[in-house]
Amino acid sequence: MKKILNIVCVDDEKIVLDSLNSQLTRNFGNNYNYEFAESAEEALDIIDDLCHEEDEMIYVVISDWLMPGMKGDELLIEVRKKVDNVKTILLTGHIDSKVIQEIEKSDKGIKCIYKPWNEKDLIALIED
Amino acid sequence: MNKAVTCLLFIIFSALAFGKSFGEQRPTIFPQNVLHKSYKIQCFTVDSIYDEIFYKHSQTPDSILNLFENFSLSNRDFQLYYLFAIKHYYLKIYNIQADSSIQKNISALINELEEKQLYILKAEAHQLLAEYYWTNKNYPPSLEHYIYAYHIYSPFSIDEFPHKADFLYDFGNRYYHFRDLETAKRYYLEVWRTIPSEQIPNNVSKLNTLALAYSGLDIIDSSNYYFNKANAIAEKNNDEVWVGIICGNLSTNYMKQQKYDEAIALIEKNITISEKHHQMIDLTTAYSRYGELLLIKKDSKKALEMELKSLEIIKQKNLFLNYSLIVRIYPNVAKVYAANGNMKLAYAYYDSAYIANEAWQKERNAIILSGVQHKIDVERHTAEIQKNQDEVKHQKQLQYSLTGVLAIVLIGLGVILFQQRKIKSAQSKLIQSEKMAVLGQLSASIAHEVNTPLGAIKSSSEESINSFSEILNDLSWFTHTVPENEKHAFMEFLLYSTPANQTLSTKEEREIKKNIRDRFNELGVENTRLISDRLVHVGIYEITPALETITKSHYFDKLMLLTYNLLNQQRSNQTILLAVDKASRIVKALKAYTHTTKSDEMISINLRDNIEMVLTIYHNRLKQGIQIIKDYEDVPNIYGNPDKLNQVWTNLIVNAVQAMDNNGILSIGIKREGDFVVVSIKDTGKGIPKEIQSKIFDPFFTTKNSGEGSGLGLDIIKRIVEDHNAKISFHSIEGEGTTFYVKLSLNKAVS
Repeated sequence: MKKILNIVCVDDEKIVLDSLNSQLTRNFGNNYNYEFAESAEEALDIIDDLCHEEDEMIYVVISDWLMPGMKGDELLIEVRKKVDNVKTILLTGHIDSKVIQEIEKSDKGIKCIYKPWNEKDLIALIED
Repeated sequence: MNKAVTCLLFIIFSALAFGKSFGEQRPTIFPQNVLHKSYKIQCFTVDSIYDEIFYKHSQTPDSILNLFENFSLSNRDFQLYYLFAIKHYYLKIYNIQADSSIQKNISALINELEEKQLYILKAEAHQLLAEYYWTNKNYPPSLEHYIYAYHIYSPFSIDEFPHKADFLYDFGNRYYHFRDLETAKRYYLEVWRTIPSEQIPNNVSKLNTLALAYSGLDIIDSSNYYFNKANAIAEKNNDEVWVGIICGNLSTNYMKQQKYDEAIALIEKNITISEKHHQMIDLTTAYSRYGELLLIKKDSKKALEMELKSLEIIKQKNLFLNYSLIVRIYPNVAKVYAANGNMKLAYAYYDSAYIANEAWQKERNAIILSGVQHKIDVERHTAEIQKNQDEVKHQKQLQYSLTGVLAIVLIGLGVILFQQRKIKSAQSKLIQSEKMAVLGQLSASIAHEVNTPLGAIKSSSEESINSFSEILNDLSWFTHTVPENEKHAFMEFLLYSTPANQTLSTKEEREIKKNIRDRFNELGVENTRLISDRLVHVGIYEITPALETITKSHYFDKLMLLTYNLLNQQRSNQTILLAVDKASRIVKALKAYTHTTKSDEMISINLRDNIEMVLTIYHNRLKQGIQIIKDYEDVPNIYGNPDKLNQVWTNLIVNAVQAMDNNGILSIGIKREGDFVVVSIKDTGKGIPKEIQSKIFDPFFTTKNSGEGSGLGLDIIKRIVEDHNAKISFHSIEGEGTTFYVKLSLNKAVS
């Protein structure tokens, strides 16, 4: 049985999620299922639910960095523990933040993309 | 002419005449056998005779010198002669205007003494020259000669060199003057280690000086020990004035140790004695320190009384230019006025204290600078001595050490110059920079705040363009291929679907998507995940009968895509508008925040907007772990300066967030109380410890590590609040949190 691949997007700003929604559906259409969460906690709930479904698979998690509660990098590390071979992308507006630079340098498997982002870059990063 | 002096002079004159006319025969009336006595006795004799003649009678030093010159030379006693000469120059330097020729004369004297191998006298001559330079504020050569003198003196015991204790103290005092307390202390201690204390003249004053040096070095225990020792001697000697002075000094130490009750007892004693003996300068500082202590003890009324007494003396004695005094007293006066609610005067005194402090620092830095210059000279001098002693062997080493010393001294000079500059600019800019500093810390999160809507705008407009080109592509397909009845149903669906305007949470969206998907399944449509996603995305939350009809169409998928693209035009533009609103709100808040009005214009302000603006700027910082509870009552506008009030909220909110370590509940309330509006800002942080609650509004008081906070935050906001004729207060429980209240008047009359 063919599994459904999921892309989970997390950002506390709804307008960012809406943008991601448009871009992803336009580029990938029916290839994936798309889930959106406004906080890391909500995203973890969704991911837990998906993990329990046999035909669902988590393909990519895209997360903002600075959010109330759990931060994006913490979330993505958590996700990597739960899900094998998952792509994790940090979408952040903090270009000059040392924290982000360190995350990028570390070998935690987290890729970073900066707001305002380029649609092509994001798509390439997901397809990569 | 005083009779006694005339008499004495007569005796001396006759003695001289006697000595001259009878050659070998020594004068009998002239101090007995002075020529045969030791150097020590000669010194005392000379001192007493000279003082007697000079002070009791207005004879000029020159004529006295002539007198003794004749006497000593005729008796071929050069030692005595030079003693008189040196004494004579001392008087010239300290009692009358000495001209520059004196410097030449003393230099010649030094050479003569070298020839005659009278070393102690040579040292005295060096000391003399050192003091001449000192009185002319020419510090480097002065210290150089002190050091010559010190090196000659040091092997001699107190018996051979009776002025040793005084000399060492004078020498130490010079370093004290340069704030080199460590070196000063070393020379003071040399006195107490090498001379039996009963042979030390003025030992109360000397012990006091030593204790002051220890106090300055923050070695309080040693300082207390020497003060107590001095005090015991002074009490034994019934020397009340000194007892008073020492009590005052001891109280400063106790204050440093926070033993306030002991400090108060001592300062009261100090004041009683100083009042009795009219020690005015001592009284000014004593009153002021008493005021400071009373303030700690919360007796602000009496504290004010004391500070006013202190000010009265300053006025009476015209001590306004005594910066070190002003710098100590004015901040206390300001604090006391502040405690009594007279903020205008409090700030006037703060300002004056700032100015005095600037002048004082300037003076002190100049002195410290010349101290450094002197160190260069000393190092050069010692290097020269060493070079002469062991030239060949040490030549190379010396060069290295000299370079090192010079490098260190240059660095020292650089540091001092830098500090001097820094102090000046820091003082003038500290207050203005407070606001900008806070903002600087925020620049990263502000960038994020702006980048988020920019990202949304960018992707939405790209989305809009993409949708539009797809619509264009599908247009001919729609007009030519889709059957008429389906076209009709589709148009109806579009016209009567009213895309929702409100934004839903992702959770609500998931719910709706699931409902739509289920409904589609009921209608027998499969693979509807993407379609329901898209419908919800563009604001269609239910399946209308028109939509039901379309589900039966052969072109359902394509029609749904067209629906999406068409409605997405609206949707994208809504997103853009939202993002633009958000970005401009940030920019507006930022502009208002950094904007400084030229005048202190008071205008009508909506408090809610004023506070919300701060929350907008700090949104990012707050959202990480802070839950904000707003409890705003509808209150009338107040009159005030929006920028300044903004600063008040910012400071209080940032402090609250810091107190909670970015985790907790921040409650902001606006409440009307009669003719007042009370803004409360409450945190669930660690609270303010009782001991420091009385100090938090003091300028420069900070609990942060040095460099992290200027300590001016609360001082500045207190100023602002007072300018608004308002009151700031707080209530804090350790471990539970702190609430700050700002009570603003609704009355338009604002000072």
